[in-house]
Amino acid sequence: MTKKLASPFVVGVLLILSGLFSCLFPFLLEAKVYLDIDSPSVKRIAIVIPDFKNQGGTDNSLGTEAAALLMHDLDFTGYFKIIDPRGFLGRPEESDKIDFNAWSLTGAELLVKGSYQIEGSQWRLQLRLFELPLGRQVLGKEFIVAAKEYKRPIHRFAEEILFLLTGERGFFNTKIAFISTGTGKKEIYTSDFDGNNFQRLTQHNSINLTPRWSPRGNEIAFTSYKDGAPSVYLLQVQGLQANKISGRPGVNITPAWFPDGESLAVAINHQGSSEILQLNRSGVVIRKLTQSWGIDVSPSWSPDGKHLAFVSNRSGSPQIYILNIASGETRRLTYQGNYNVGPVWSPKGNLIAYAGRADGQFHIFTISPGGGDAQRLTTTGNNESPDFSPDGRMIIFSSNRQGKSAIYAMNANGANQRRITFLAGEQFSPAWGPRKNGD
Amino acid sequence: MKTKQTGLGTMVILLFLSSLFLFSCGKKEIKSEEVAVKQPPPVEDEAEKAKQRARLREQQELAEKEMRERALKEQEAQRLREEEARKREEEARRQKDAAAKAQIESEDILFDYDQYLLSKEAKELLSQKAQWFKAYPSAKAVIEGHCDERGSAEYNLALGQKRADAAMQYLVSLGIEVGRISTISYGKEKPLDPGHTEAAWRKNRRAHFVIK
Repeated sequence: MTKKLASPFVVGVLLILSGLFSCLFPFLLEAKVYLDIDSPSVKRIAIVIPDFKNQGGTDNSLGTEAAALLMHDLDFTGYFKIIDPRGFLGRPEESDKIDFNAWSLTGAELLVKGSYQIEGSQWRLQLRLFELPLGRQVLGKEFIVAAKEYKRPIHRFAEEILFLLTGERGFFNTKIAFISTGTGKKEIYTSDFDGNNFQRLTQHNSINLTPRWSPRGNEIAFTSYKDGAPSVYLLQVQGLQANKISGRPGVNITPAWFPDGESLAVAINHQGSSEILQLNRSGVVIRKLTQSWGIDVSPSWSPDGKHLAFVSNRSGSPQIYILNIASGETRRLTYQGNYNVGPVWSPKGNLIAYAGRADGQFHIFTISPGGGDAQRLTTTGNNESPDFSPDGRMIIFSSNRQGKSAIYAMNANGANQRRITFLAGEQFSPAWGPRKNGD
Repeated sequence: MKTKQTGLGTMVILLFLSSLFLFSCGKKEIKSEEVAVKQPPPVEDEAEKAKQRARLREQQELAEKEMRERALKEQEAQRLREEEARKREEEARRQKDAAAKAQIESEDILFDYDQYLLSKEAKELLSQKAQWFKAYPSAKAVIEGHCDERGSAEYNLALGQKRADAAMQYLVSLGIEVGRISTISYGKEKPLDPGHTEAAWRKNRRAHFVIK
């Protein structure tokens, strides 16, 4: 853990209070029971995060902003109940004397206390997590960063809390990509996981579709009409160079990265022949994965690369099928409804999310790769293009439930649905980027 | 027209000559009275005759020149009239071609929801388009496949290609050279009608022709 924290982005990360793991174990065991994230109704943990205290320097607003950001991050996961710190009725505290009883009376089970000093352009931040009502410290970190980068250690601390409680890392330093029509065209944008800090990546004055992050997060595969006909390109996230890798006659669409990032599955459709090909990074055919006289499209690899989910209309309407790569056998996965598309495999391989038509509108479903009962996760509007967070605990998707299409996020069980993009135009086709090494 | 004119010219000349003849005869009569008195020298008479012949020739030439000029003018007018007619014809043909082209481009092949099979109406319309391709052997076309907004963008891209392909293959089966037609799918990206009604969706599920 300590090593992972020493990322090049954070100027200095110090453990001020070495984690006494033996002390933490009882809490961890207890906490994991609290946060059984696969359960359909997770009990939320109540946490309170008062403003971080300024202990030197002039900028008092930073302590408020940083505490608010930590609350926002934890709230986003859907696993926490955020307690308003104004409910604290104890006396104003000195930094080393915390009235745990009074904090406990707010209803919180966990308390984060933070303090900071501004030293020149640097920001020194100490964050501690306490279990209430006993006041046992379960996590403590000190971060030293450039003041303008204050979000980074906050996201990092949120990761730490999530890891401590669930045994798994989160996604607070990840990015998402999506299509937006803000310019009147369809361009590729990225933002932080929560929709903040958005940025346009392409300026093709054209139709761009289905951005897909490479496993390392340094490239985005997508479909574009920028040279006339729909072709598949790879976009370098640094430098924004776009290289065409497949411009075969007809449509070249729905690129899906093989887990090792060295090849992609791409749907090619032309003159009665529809096939999903596996192409290397230069676009050379490695092998033919599917072929039909109907439509085969929208491939998604299982995390181990042994199976390929895809959409085919070979039974008369679009349904999801699973190809066993080794045996070459294909079986139909979805039987409910007459229009099921856009499968995406969860990072753990235990679920496939997709969009299906029900009651005249499109909704997000999950189903186990073995088949069985599909779970419908959305209830209003048209909901499409699901994609999992890197930890598999959340799903982003597009929805027009509030009029124009925008990007939404929810827990993988459908709880905690919230809109995350508030931009001009409409947003579609979100893709959740991977965690990067060091984050 | 021309012969008639020549005839007219000849008549004019004849009339002229005969009047000239009468006139000179009359003069002669008077002169013969004088001759009886004076006897003019025969040389003078000869010179007079030569002069008259010259005058006659001159007048004849003048008449011919006038005639020629008139004929030329008439020819020029005729040429202009013919050119005008040709231009009108050309314009009419151009308009007819443009109307035929516009009709090819405006009459979309429509499809049922999530379908790319050609209906009877679609086949009839494609047969008309095939006639047009035969009438204009140098014309080339792009067939665009489009879908309504329902369903995933990705699936609709593939579906749009199927629709364009279906229209193209039917034209080829009717004898249109495959090299004259290319296809492109726009999926649900370029709806003809941006509405969200059944009527709008119906219009948007189409194979659209663009003539090059």
